[in-house]
Amino acid sequence: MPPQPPDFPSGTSILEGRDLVVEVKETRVLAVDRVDVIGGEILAVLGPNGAGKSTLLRVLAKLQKPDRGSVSVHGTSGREADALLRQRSAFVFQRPHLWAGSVRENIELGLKLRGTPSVEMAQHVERAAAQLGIDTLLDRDARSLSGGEAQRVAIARAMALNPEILFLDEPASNLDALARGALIEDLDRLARDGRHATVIATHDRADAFSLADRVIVMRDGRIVQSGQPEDLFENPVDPFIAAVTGAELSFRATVVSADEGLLRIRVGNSSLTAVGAAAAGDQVRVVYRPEDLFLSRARIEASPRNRFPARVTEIRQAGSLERVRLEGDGHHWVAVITRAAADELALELESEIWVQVKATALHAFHV
Amino acid sequence: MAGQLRRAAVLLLLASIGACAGPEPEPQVVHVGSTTSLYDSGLLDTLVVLFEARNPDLQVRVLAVGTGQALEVGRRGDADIVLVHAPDAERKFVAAGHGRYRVTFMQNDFVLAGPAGDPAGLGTVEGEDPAPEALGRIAAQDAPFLSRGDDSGTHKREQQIWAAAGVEPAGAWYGETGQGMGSTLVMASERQAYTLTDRATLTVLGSAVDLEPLVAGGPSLQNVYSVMIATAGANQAGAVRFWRWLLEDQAKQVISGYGVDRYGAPLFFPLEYDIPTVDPEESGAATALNPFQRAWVLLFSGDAYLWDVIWRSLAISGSALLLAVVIGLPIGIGLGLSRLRFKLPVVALVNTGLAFPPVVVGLLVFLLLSRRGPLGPLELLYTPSAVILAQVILAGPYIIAVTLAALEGVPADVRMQARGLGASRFQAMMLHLRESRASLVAAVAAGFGAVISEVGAVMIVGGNLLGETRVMTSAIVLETRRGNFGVAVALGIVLLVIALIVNLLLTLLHVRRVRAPAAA
Repeated sequence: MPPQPPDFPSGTSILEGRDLVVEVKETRVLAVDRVDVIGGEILAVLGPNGAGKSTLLRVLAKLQKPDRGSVSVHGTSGREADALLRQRSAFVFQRPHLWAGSVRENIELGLKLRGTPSVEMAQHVERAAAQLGIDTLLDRDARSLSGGEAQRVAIARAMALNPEILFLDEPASNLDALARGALIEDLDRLARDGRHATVIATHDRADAFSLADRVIVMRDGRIVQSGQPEDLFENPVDPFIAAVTGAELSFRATVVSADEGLLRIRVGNSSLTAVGAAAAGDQVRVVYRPEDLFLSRARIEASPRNRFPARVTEIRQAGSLERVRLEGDGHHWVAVITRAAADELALELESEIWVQVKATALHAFHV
Repeated sequence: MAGQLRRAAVLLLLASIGACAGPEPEPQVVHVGSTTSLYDSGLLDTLVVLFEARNPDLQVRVLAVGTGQALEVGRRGDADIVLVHAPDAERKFVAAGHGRYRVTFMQNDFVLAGPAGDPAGLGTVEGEDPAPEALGRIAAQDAPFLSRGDDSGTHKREQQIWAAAGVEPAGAWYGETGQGMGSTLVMASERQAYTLTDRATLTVLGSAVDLEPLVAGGPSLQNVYSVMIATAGANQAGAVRFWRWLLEDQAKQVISGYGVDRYGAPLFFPLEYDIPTVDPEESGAATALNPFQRAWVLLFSGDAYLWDVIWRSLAISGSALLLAVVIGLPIGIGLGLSRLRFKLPVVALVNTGLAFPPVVVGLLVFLLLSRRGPLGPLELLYTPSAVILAQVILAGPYIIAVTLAALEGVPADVRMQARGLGASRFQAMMLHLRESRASLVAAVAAGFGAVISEVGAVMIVGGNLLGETRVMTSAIVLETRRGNFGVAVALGIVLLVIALIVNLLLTLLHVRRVRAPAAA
């Protein structure tokens, strides 16, 4: 059967997992009461390594049998659901295996398994390759590709199938920052065509929040909280969620102007430059990593777009690092610097210092 | 396995080079080219021990081969003295200047031996010279007959009797072992076939074989042994001393008494003769053929015997490999895919199978298939099927183990990844196999190289029968013993070429695997 566009409207639940339990040597690696995948949505599964994200994805995709519980697809279960999922889903693994042969043969594989006629198959291959920007690689030996190229081939291979549900397991985890950014951008564009549901597992909150309609946060095999990104920021159920989502390291802002992903935002009294997809007038949430803040005694001219004075309100030691809370223009920031750097700067409470942060370190999400 | 093949190839090369170079002049050693019957009966050893005890400056080395080969060894100068029993061939040998001082010094007799039931009814043949008529009956009834077919004195005598009977022996009932008297008797016993043997070897084997002497007496079955000095021998002086001692009284007494204590009657009888006067003159050395030149000529002239052996080898080992793959591959795949508890012990068992010495496998298959063994009624011993069976047992664990390794050589979740693209369980398994195909091809090639270069098991269960189970390795053993180094080298070259092709294939596949980095 050739790939088909989904014949169920968006907004209805197409995949339902109930009471899922997976045990490895008596340890529960997954214990999830309920998880639904809604047609057309992008669902991010966020959590630290070992939280059970991959296991949940594999179980939902019926690639792994849970020790207990059930997964139903469009209301069917058992063999029927299994066959339906094989026909209508595609799974991109964290370490995708590219089969011996050319890139084209790799992208054709899933189509061949579905018995797609060759003319149609060529069209699907060309389309998917173009979407992922790998048209020029089609005749290369698949085993000769770089990590980023291989990951794109693996995604193109899945996209060529026009899946109703696309599973992505840490699709950007072993890429360098540049390739990662480009890939996430492409995924954002592809996932938002609204035609298929995407389930993406990631440990990177920026990835999760920039892509997802809905986020599930996992820890120790359990779902700790789920909801829309803004809910998680606004109402974290516990400090873990706050840490995972980076609620403490985020703030709301208003977009003043937007130019090709580069946003001018206003927060408190100051104006900053951030990256993200939003339009002028939009309310956004901005997240950052505390290690991306640069501190200096004097104002210096450097490449970071954002530069402002601040006052030290708290210093806490964390091993060889120091966690510094700052207040600038009526807004709170957190920076993490090394002990040596703190000594050099002679940091103490009430110190006046300059903060610099690159625009690309401030990720803004529409709320 | 490939390593074994390479080692064997190097040894073979060294051996043939050594053979070309000829023996080093070692004056203290006397080389004796002897018929196997003298050696198998134990008489020659007894004589040599006595001689060496009285001549501490001399050491006797015996090359126990058939008469034809013994003469050939003498002609080349690889033996200094020759002990044989084929009067016509001996006379030609002396006439051609290859031997001197020929003395016919003892005799015993040949007998036609066969199964106790005597299905061809040879026991009822009578007359002055019963042998030709008896062989005529065997041929007329297509009764199984095993010939040594090795150009030995016994074989030459057998051919003379067939000629006297007016029969050209050929057909399914007539087999050639290409081996010595003892081995041929064991095989005839297993096959319940008739054979021509010297009485001494039959007596010495006794109850180890299930054969009875059925026809004896008459001029056709008279067996006379002669000794002569090889003109081309390196140690003429030593040869003369051993020759003279053999013909003197002490040796005569040993010969006439040998076997009385154990068998109740002597095995050999000394004859009356005059010892010739030895003229201590120099000898002319005969030039040996270059075996390598001969090998190329044989290979490219399409020598029927050589190519029969080559194709037979390829067919037998090919069939064995095919069977091993048909049996081993599914088992390997089953093991590779299973996560069951019994997997580990089974894998351990398979790895044990890898370490089976081929000779031991040969012995087990022999015991299994021999007439008194559990599969005896199938009458498979000394047939190509027996060789194939042994090679399957050798190659089977190997194929299982490499299939397992090949499957484990690709990422563990490869089938899950195939399923993630929509493959059914079966399709996922086929894709997994496809990913491992380079290793599988390499493994099967290496397996072929291993079974085709194996010799121990082939000799034991195949018996090296001409036109049936004579394969390259066993033919090399035989032809080297016969002194036909050209044929041996030609077969060695073919085995080397096979080894080369296998290794080339392995290298190519290996290079490809190394070059291909794992997709990140």
